[in-house]
Amino acid sequence: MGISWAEFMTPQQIAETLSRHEAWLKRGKGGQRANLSLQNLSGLTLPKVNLRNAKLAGANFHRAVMQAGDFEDADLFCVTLERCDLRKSNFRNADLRGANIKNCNLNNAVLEGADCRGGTLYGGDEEDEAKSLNNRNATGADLSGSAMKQANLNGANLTGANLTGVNLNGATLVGTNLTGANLSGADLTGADLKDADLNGAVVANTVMKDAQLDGAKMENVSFEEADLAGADLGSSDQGLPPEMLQIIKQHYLWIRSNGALGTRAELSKQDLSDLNMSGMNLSGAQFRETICHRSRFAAAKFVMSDLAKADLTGIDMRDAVLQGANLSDANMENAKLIGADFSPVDLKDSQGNLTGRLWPANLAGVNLQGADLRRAKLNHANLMEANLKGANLKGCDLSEANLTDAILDDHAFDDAITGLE
Amino acid sequence: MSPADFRDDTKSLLLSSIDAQFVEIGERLIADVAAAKSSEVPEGFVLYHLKNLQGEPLKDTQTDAHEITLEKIVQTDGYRTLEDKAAELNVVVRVDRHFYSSHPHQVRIFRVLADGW
Repeated sequence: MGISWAEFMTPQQIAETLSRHEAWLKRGKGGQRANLSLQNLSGLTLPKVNLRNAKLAGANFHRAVMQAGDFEDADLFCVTLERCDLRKSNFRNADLRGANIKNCNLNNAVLEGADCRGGTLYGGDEEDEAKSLNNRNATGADLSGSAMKQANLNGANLTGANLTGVNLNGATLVGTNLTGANLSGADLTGADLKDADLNGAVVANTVMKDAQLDGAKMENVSFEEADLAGADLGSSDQGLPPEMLQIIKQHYLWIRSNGALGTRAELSKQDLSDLNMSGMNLSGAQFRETICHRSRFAAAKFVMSDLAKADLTGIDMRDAVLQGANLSDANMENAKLIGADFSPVDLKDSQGNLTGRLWPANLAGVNLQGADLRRAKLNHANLMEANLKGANLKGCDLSEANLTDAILDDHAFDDAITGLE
Repeated sequence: MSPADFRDDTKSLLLSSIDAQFVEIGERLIADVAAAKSSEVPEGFVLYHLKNLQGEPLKDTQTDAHEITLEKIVQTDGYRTLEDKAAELNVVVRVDRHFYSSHPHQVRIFRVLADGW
């Protein structure tokens, strides 16, 4: 005979199991390690439950409320935690391989060192049938749709995990293994991903604003549709030559010390073609007449930088911050400038106080033929005599921009934001 | 043949089938574990579902009906052979039951889990 619903653990049995487990953890009398493997514990309200080191493989906690629960070192292999409230819970070093953690509230939770890898399921001769089996999660833990704000995932193994739509705003993922993870639509605003392994990760429509990516591995990652505005790729060398790294290092020091230490990067008239400097902070650096054919500067910062007469043909500057920059007479033909920010800088005085004086970007005479300026912010920019023929201005903010004698397509402003009626 | 004889016959066939499946898993274990470890997205385990005589997932309702316990399953020669193969690979194998369906009764299916790397 199968096990009927009536044979499920009673509330008394569950409470007793938890009590014994707590006693076991304290090495107390009558203590026994909890084994709730395969048990149906769905919908239970167990705040601050202590299941540290418990055997919970395959258990069903669907819609359970377990805020501030302790699951450190627990065996949660292939467990179902879908729609659980797990705020502030501790999953440090837990075995979460193949777990279903969809649509959970894991805000402020700790998953440090947790193992969320997937596996392969073989069903003999009928693989298709096996693939349809319940609770299967062969490609990595499924955390899709979960809220994980401020969660600690340092060192966790999220290889192949499904993190689509997850809110990881402000989360820490230092050294986290995200190889092949699906982060589509996830919000990683302000997340700390230092030294994380993102090789092969999917970041379509992923928001990584102001994220820390210093030292992160990012091979085979396409950031085309990711929002990296303000993201810090720090000192990750990205294949740069040593002498260039030295210049960048000194420039960072110069920025951090407000010019007291280090040296402002002087890269004028140099050939930086095909280099990848995405995410770097190059604010204030000199790039006059620099050649940057096909270079990658996605999400890099060029606040008040001087790029006058630079040859930036085909450059990738998606989500780059070019506030107040000087790009006069630069060649940016066919440049990728989606989401780039050319808005004015609010100047500060020597004490660091805002003066209220705006310093617009200078794009006078710039060649932007065929450039992709979708969602770019060109408000207040000086675009006198700029060539915008064939440029994609969909969603581009041109309000208050100076377009005197600029070369434009007919209907160029149809999809742009001009601030005009 | 009486109903009891028929039941014993089926029990014997089922145990033989399970035994043979363990042998089969043992033969493919090296390749499957290697693939899991070296795949583009490295994996942390390999699972195999045991089948019944009809080729469907082996349910605990069926094994219970024939008084085939988990203990009996892991005492088959095939399972011991599988354990030996796994030990050679520094891999751990175990048989567990996994949730399959809940209506009208709770049903679980048997699977073989290989991990430990």
